[in-house]
Amino acid sequence: MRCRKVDSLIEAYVAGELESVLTQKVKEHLEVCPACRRQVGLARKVAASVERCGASDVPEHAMAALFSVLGERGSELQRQERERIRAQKRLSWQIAAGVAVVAALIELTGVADLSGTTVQLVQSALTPLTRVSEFVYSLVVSDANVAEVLKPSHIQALLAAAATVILVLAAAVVGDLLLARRTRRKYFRAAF
Amino acid sequence: MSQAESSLVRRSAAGDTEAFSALVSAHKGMVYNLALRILGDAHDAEDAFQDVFLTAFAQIGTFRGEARFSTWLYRITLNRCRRLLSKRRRDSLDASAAEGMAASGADADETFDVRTALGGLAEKYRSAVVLHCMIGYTYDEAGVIMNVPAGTVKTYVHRGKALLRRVLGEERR
Repeated sequence: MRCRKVDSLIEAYVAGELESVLTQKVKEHLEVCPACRRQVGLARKVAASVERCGASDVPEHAMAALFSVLGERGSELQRQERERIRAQKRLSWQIAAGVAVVAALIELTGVADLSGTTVQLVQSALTPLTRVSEFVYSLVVSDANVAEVLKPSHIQALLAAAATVILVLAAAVVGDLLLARRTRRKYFRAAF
Repeated sequence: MSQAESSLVRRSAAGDTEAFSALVSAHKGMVYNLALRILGDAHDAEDAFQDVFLTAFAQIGTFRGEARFSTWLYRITLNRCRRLLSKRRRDSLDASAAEGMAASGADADETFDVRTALGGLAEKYRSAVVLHCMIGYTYDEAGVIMNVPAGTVKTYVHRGKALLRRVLGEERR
């Protein structure tokens, strides 16, 4: 085994983390190479010094300053954090609602290839709502039999409106879950 | 997490500063020494120490107990130290910081040399060496705190120590 290879393995060797075959090869090399033996000696000194590095006491004034701030502003800090999380959730819902509305509009107008103009898109989007309104109006004003006033386009509009609501709710729930998951993963993992 | 610590966390989340003070007392040494070894400066470590515990108190309501409380706390500590380091764009000790560390009780030559050399390492190697070799976290535990795989921590520790070995080897020539 060459010195360069042994040098790359020295830390693992000193820590006892090498496989037995490699450990044996390193030992055999060390028996005949004083330069590498010196490096192993240095590595052992480093390992011992690092572990021996004493802990320092926390300065009293640092502790006093911390407790002082905690006493004065503790509840304010927690309140600000709760507000920050609420604002994040609101943003998540707003983004989800926006995405859902766009998706619903595309679905309602059937303009998957986005070939219509903006005005046409908006007019197409309003059509189902207009029909729902007409239907409700017909029921309320004329007191007519439901079957006589119910048209296929009315059913389509009702379904589209229901789909919009469901899409908005689903997107908001998914967005909220993703945000909560991202926040949790940032701080801890169930590793042990 | 023990029942007692779990109770302290719950009470702290409800705004009980006395309960949180007990948590501070239990973990203050580790947080301060982790910050001190990574930042290499006692004054910076004091700033980070206060930031970490104020952040922890503000966000303790989000701690769900999926890992140990100490792990969560040391993750905050590491993130704070990284932010401080990148803000101040400093990866090695300057003379005043070295004096600060000497005044804080560095003992023999070898220990002081290692501490000085540690300050010259890149942050990822320094953090790995501090967490695994000084504080005693396993590679897995340190990996959770540093947000890297355990194998990566092992590599960082070995590379960090190899660099320290080279520095000490140069000094002894």
